[in-house]
Amino acid sequence: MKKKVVALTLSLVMAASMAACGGSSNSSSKADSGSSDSASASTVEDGDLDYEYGADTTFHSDEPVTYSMMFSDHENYPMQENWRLWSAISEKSNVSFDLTSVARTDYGDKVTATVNSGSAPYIIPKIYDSTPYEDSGQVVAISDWVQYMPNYTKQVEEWGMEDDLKTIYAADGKYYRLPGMWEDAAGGYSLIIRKDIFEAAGVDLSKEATWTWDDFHEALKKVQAYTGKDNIWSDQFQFGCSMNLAATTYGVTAGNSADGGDWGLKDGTKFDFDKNEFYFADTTDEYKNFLTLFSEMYDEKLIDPETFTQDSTQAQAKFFRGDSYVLAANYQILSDIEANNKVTDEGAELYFLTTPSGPKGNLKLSTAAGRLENGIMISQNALDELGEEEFIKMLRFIDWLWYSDEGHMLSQWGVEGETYTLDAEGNVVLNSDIYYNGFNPEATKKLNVDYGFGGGVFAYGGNTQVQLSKFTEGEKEWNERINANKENMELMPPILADEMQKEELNLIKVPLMDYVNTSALEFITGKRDLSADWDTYVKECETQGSSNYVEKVNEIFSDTKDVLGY
Amino acid sequence: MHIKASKGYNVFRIINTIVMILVVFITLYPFIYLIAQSFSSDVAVAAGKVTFFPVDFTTATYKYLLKDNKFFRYYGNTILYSALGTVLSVAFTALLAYPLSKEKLRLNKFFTPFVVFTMYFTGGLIPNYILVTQWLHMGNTIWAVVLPGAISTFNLLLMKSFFAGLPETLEEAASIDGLGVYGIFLKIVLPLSKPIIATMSLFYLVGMWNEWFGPFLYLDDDALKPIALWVRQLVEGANSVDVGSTAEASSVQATLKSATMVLTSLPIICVYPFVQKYFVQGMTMGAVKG
Amino acid sequence: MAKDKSKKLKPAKTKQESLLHHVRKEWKLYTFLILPILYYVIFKYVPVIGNIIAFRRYKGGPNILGQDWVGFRYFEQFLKDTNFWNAFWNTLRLSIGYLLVRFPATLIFALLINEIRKTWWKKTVQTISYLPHFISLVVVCGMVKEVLSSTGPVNSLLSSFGMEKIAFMSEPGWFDFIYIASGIWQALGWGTILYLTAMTNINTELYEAAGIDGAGKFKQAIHVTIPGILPTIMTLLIMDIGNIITASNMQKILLLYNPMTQSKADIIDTLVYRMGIAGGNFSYAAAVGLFSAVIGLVLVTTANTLSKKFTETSLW
Repeated sequence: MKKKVVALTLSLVMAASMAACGGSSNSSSKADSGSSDSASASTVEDGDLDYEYGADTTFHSDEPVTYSMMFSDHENYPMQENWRLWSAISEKSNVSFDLTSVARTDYGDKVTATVNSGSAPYIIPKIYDSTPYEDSGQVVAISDWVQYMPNYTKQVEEWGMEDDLKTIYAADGKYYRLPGMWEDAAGGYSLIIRKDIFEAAGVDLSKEATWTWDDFHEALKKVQAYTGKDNIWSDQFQFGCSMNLAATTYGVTAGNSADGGDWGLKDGTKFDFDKNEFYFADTTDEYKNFLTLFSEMYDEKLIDPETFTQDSTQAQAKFFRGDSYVLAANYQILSDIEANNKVTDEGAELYFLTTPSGPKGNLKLSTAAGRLENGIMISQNALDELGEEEFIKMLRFIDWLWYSDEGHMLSQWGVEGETYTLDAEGNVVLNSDIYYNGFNPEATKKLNVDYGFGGGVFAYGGNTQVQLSKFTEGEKEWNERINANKENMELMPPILADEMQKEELNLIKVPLMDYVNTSALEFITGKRDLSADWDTYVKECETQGSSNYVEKVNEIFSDTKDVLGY
Repeated sequence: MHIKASKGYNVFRIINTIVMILVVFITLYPFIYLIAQSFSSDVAVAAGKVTFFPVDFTTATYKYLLKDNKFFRYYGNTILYSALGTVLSVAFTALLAYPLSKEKLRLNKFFTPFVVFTMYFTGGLIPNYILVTQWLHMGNTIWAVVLPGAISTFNLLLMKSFFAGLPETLEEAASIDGLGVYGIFLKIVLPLSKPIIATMSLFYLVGMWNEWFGPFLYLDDDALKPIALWVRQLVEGANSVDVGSTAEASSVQATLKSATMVLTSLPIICVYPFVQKYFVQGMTMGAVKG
Repeated sequence: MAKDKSKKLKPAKTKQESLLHHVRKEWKLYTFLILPILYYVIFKYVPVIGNIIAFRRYKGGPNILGQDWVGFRYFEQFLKDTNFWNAFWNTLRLSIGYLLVRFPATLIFALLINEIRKTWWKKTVQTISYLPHFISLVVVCGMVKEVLSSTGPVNSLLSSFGMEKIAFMSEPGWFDFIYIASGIWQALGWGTILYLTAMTNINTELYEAAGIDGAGKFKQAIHVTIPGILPTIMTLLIMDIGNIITASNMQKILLLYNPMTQSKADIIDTLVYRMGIAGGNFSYAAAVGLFSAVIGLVLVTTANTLSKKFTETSLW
């Protein structure tokens, strides 16, 4: 069997490299982590291990083990102890979890409390940004350890993830979370429209994949003229999502919704790949054009004034009953709407637009952030309490569950023969009595609610095949439309600020971006005038430190160019 | 009243009644709205048809909610925490308020500011978390829920001024009769203090019933959580979305939210009038003696 | 509950006994304090030590006392921060506005309830008006958003009168109203309890005497009821004034505000929250928190001293 061979090779390489190993965790240097060889230092001979592991090998511990873990609980499918997910994992691997379950809305605060107090569970998943925790000394610099994770290193190598990984480097050139990785970027947010209404209004949808935002604007005007209705775009996510979609194609940053969800506002900087330096994008002419686009739409009563404050349920309700015709969403939301027949307006037909293009081109937005997903931080407690050997064992378990194809299939689809089967071509066929993401709309049971599979904590990332298996025909078609028309984006280099620099940057950034965001909404809603108040805005950004910020960022960038390879 | 009411007073009484009816209506309306929503269909709620009465009357939402074991477990936890928390809090508050109310205790000059200080200076999230979980090892226990907030300084000051207002002659008489300090407190002061004890109990009960931050911070085990945390998760979920390609927006129905809110608010609303009856009695008694 | 203290003022002690002697004499009363004071030390004072990071750099982790001294660095930073000053004035405006509306409203409402003669009606009004106090803030704010949404009953009412719908939650101009009105909705009835309790303690003979003197109901309220509950009024007023800076309702603002209304709604506590927990600038947040605590303490101490002087009532 191929799997066995790989494992055997691995163990041989390990034995060979034993002499080179210093033993302590600190000795595994940066050079190690940079190399993607699947094996290097190890203190144990493979024969002594009380578990099986390896690339494409099922992790299995001889003795039952339990690892503590944080769990981000989603109100759509509240955590149950009797989920099949838990027993399926322990049947295969002999591992169970000691869970700290926290509502996803408060998850970040709890992570802050447990990590900074030094009492965090070993495994901390669902982390989008590890920067606030890196200096605390409570999170393992995981890049020092990934060489023990055969599936992970294999993916990094085969899918060429090195550049993507650079985006999560800390100032020391290490990274502190194990990111989820996609072989291909896909998915993301775009706009659902009412096809029936748009076509009746005379909008030609066949060319939508090459639309600019101005084309979209024209289309909305036609719809307004045809229906005679105002406020036909009433969006969810307090418009943060839609602002981000447009901002990216204008080469600027925008979008931050009320609950603190940062859709893409970030720090307002963009990278100039020609000059090799950062600049502040949210005072540029492109930014002004970006605001003009929306303020015109607002002025023409295309955008609902409530769009900036209503919660998602209210926004969806308007869309469902036919008061509005545009709604930002991702495919999961669209599937959910269609599967549950939520649109009550008669004759409604939905269509998922690809995101319109802007001055920066017809961009595939899902590539903006690279192919990394949220990821897992490992608490320093795990290393301290388990000791190196057991720590590596835990990493290999994580490696199996989150990074092997088998693990992906398990956490996404469950147990073969129980919740799904494979057809002759190896495609996943979900049992007909189970609903998931648009599959089997009539089914009474739900894969995430009743079984725990397909949930956000485990099921993300993976190869193209796993990814496509989650897509309904409609979603596949949408992705093809994008891939055929849109171009990938270049990845911005990260800012490798150290602790002091981070503090300085943060103190400028938080109030500055607060101001930028508030001003954006005021410009759009006409509370401030784009021609009259623009200069004041630019000057105020200046006073709040926009240039100062960029200067500091560029300084840091030039100091760390070597690490990043620019 | 044996004074003949003047004409102006009669007009006043009519206006007063109207004002009261208005206040009652405005107070009750949001509840009516919530209850009407919880008994309506999702479609009707989404369409904004519900104002006073349920539209497409259905009990499906409640049936769905009540078949969930988690709901009852959370509920049971809330009852347990509230009961223990209230008893503990009232006892602690009374113990502190009584000596602080005694002007003859000279060290109060130190203790009162010592206590008041904490109304303004509080510790941050992380010091509190470390204290409770690592130094006191109370994480994941009922004590982490009921102890950190056991005394509310505001309540303490109210109780203190109540004690200060009790006639000292009674205590002096009891002292002459040979009762000690503890005896006086238990046999004279406490029975006289039923009104304030009832009030305090209610203050603390309500606080504990709606408390979510302490349980959120200190309880890890899902089985120990109170219902307030779950309500918060439902209500806040609608306002929050994860960013990223795996983002899942909340699809919890408005009807489910309303029903959960109704069921959590209900018991405390039902318990209250009985407590009120008791302490209105207590207050009248206090008035006669005063 | 609160009484005219002048009644029980005792002749001042002429000779100061020694402290040791005093404690020895009253030790039994002091034993009451042991448990609660221990509680205060552990649960309130120990975490307060963490505030030292306002003067020290803290970069996260269990060393809650921070890394090294930085003096007033963080104070200088926030005093230069326009967002801080914006939050500062918002805090004052919202708190004072709320106080100015709620304080008289509660007092008047209590007086009105006191005038209800039918016991069943009085009880009903009381019971119902207390209700909102029991409802958690999360639910209250959820209700506010539902009731004021574009499809909610308030906007339906407006449009049935032919008026324009109002986007309440997105207009910064409406924020003060929403904040204050929802506060009143929740606190109006509850705020009367202490007054009503105090009113039942007023000697009925005083009313009778006033009645015989020919004072009408209105005059009785001014000359008997209000002086009778003055200590309670003062106690509550002192509390409220001291709380203007510190105890502003952060949770509620967090649940109600959004970027559209942030310019009017951001208060010191929400700024501290955003900078600290969400933004990771713990030291900066601690400095702001400490600053507002000092102001709060100064305010309440002043109010207390003034009250002691003029009304002979005080918190401590």
